[in-house]
Amino acid sequence: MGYKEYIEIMVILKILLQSWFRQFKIKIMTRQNIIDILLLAILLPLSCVKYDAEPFTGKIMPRVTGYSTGVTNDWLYFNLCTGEIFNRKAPNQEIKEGEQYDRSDWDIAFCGYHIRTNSGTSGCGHGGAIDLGYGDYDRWKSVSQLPSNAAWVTDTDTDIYVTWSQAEWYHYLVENRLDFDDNPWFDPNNGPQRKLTSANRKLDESMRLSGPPMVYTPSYHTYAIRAADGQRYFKLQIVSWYNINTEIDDTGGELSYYCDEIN
Amino acid sequence: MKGIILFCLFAATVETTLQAQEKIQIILLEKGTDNPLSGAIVACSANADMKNAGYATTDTRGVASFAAPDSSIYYRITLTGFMPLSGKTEKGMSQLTLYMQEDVIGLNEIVVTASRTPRPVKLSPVTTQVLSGKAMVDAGYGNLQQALQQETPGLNIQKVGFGNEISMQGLDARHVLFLMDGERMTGDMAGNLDYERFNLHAIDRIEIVKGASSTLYGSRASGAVINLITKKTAQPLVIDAGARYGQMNERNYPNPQKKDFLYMYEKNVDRPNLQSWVSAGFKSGDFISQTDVWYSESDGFYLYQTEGDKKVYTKDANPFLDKDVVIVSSLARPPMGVEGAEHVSVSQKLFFEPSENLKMQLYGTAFFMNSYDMVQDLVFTQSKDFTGGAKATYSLKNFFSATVSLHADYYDRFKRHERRDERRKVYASRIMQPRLTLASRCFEAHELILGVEHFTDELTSDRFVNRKMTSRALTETEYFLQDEWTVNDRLMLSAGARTNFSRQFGFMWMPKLAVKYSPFEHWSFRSSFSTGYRSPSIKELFFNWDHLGMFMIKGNEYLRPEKNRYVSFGAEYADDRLFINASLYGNFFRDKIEGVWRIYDMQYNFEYANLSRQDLLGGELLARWRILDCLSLNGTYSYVDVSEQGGVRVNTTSPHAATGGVEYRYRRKNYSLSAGFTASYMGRKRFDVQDRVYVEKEGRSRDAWFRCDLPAYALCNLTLSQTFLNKVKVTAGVNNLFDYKPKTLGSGLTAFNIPATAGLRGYVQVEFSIKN
Repeated sequence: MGYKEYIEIMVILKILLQSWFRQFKIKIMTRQNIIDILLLAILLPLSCVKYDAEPFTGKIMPRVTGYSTGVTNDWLYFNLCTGEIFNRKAPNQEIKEGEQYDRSDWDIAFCGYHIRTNSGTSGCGHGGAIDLGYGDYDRWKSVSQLPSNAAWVTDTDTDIYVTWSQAEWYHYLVENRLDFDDNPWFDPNNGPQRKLTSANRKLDESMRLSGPPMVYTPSYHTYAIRAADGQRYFKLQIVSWYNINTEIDDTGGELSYYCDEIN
Repeated sequence: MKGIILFCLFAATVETTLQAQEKIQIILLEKGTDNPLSGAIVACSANADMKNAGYATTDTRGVASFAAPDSSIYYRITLTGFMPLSGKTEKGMSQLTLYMQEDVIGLNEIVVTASRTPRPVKLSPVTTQVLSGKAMVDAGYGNLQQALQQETPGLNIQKVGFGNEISMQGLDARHVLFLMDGERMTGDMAGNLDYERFNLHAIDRIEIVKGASSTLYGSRASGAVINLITKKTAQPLVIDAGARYGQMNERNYPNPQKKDFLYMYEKNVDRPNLQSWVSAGFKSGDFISQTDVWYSESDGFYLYQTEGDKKVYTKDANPFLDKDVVIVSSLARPPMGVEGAEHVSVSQKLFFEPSENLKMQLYGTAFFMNSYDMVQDLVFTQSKDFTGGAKATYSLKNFFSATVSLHADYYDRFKRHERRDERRKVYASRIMQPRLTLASRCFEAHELILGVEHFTDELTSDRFVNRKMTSRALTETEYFLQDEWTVNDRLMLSAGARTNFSRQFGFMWMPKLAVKYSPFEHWSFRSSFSTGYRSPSIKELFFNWDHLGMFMIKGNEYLRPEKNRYVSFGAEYADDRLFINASLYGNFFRDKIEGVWRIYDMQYNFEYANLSRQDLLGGELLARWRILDCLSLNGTYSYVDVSEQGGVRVNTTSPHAATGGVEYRYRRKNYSLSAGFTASYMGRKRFDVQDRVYVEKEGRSRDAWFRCDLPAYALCNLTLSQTFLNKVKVTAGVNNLFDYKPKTLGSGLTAFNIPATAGLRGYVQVEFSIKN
């Protein structure tokens, strides 16, 4: 209920109750008391929509990434140590797909809700990630708090699938002489077509996708990210598939998240 | 109802006249508790055939007074929910104490749905199942959906992507017409209304007529009509109020903080399960007022599946396969969210009945609901509905009565932001229906009804043209005529026809014929032939919605109305203790409208089309048995067989469904106890779902069907209630007693066919009653 509806209901009920008791000539004091008690009984649990959340202090992805931009492997790269962002305005501008492996000037990358670290099959760096568990983002302040025996997960190219962009899927069909109607991009039971990519399987657990209709549910786990140099550490918590300033019915994709260095 | 009206007209006259005469007092008490029964209609006459009867109603002491003639008088007493009494007083008697017994079997309920005229259910030419509103509240049901599922054979409520989906006798919600006091409602999704709009505590009774009733009710009445008749007090003042607290389904966020990104979402999906209600009515002179208010909130929860999806592509449904192919997904299936909700409804009815010949009514309902789905997309859904109308009936003795009515329903749906105070309207639906009905008993043994109604349906949505809010409308004008002929004490015939004209679909006509034959005192046989139709909905005609480039949902402006023929035969045995009704039916559809997936333009398109035929054959059994005055049993069973099409079964109904219940009552003065157990059983479901499968020998994927197999389940409830001093009632109960939780959510889109239950949950309920 909004405030307007709440007030409407209160007024309607009060008028109705007053008319009943006037009808039966119940004493004024008694009548008013009974009216108030009844109103309280009915409407005590009734609540209004209250916008009392505190302002969001985290970060917002600068743009939507992934298949909806027309590029399947549309990765947005971050250098967490310097704050530099690559491919900020469009896919494959500063770092083309494949070029990232030989570069050590990025620490983490996003394509939709899939995440790379500069490690394993994604990059030549010493990156990686571990899961620090549900919530408790503010708890992790010092590197000494990180579990010393943790098995850092590096990137692989055998576990994670990204969604084909429609344009690239059709291009793929043409190249392989496959029938368009036999191989639609989207299947109601299986979702859109996907292909393997290189990414971090631990960080892939930070968001769960179900549907259609597509529902993106963050795990709210906090993850520790090891930078490409293997020396610096950051913590990451994805809190939403949506930008906090999103319009109603926006399809999302600009993630809201927290990411800070652990000193 | 007729008695109440007659009382309104005669009571004052009778009492004034009798002041100067000797009087006889009839004191009416409830059998078992000796509680006085108020509001009962007492008819007295010097003749056994009750000609020129005088009427009075019992007051809060259960007393009705009449002039005492020199000879004995004959009386007949009726009260809703009790078995009628009749008899004769002794000459010179000044006081008579009588006891009425609760009508557990329910054969004396007055029903209107099957014939649009009030008559006792046992005399209705078409079988009508009646659920008493009081009995549903006594049974501890928290809402209408739960009550219907536990009490109605073959009615299934399952969870779907957009809310609840009702199906009955193998037909989905598009073929089940819900009415409130005989009037339509709007705001449906695939035929499903917001069932939260129905306030269980405002319902006097629910009448369910299965089969095609389009002759009287028009489009959509092709599978069943569920008519909710709301309360209308017959007493000077009645106020019932109550509150209910239920265990939460699932606690998702134990400690929401204002700094949380989804603070509002976290609070909303974990709302407590609370309800409160007030139902108040008064009768003063020619005026009757009835007001009902209901508030309810509930939490959202998830349903889980531990194993990966399993799809079986059978050779039967996919002739290009050499053998059945089984594909098991290695990925865990994400849990499915079941939304929570918060809603309030306020309804007001005013009746003005200044004379025997003139009755008028104004009514209106306001409904507000917030639906809190489990999707973390920073928006939730708000719904707002205003329903209202006016009716007036003028009667000229038995010659005819004319009823003119105007009914309207305005429904809006919004999406509301969870971080900013803004909302956007995404859906608006308006219906308006003026109607004129002429009824006549001018010809002996005949009840004639002639009606004309005009129906306007307008829908505004962002799913017609490029995501812009656009309106589409349909109008239909219909005439109907029915004659119910009581040939003799044993035989009754009902015949009728309806014509329909619309610019979109042209002219149609729908006939019906029903026969009731009662060769012996307790036996009745009914048979009927009726036709039904369903005009394509505005959505089915005009939808044109691109779902993120993934698929299109496309309406079809060339759809024709689907039509069906319904044939039934039933036998019924009924006495004061036992009621058994068995029936067989066939429901034969042609041009049935279904949504099908088709691939073209390089993508899937969900299109509506008139499919060829679908035949549904089935049987039903209803039984109630009052073993002892304090103990009663009831049970129902439903079987339906839906025809396959090319080896493919698209209908998701289980062939077998049953309900059962046992109720024990202990009563004494100023105290009563009631314990009840109800069970609802749904048999195994096996149906085919459209999909694609890769065929190795052909080296390509093909359209295919996979078989979905969902196990049988039963939901059982237990309730215990105690009433003190006839004023305070305390109820405690457990829903889903055996903690059933669906283990499989199905596969792919078939997740939409499981009961939305979080498992065993308890509740307590307190009710107060004030009578003046």
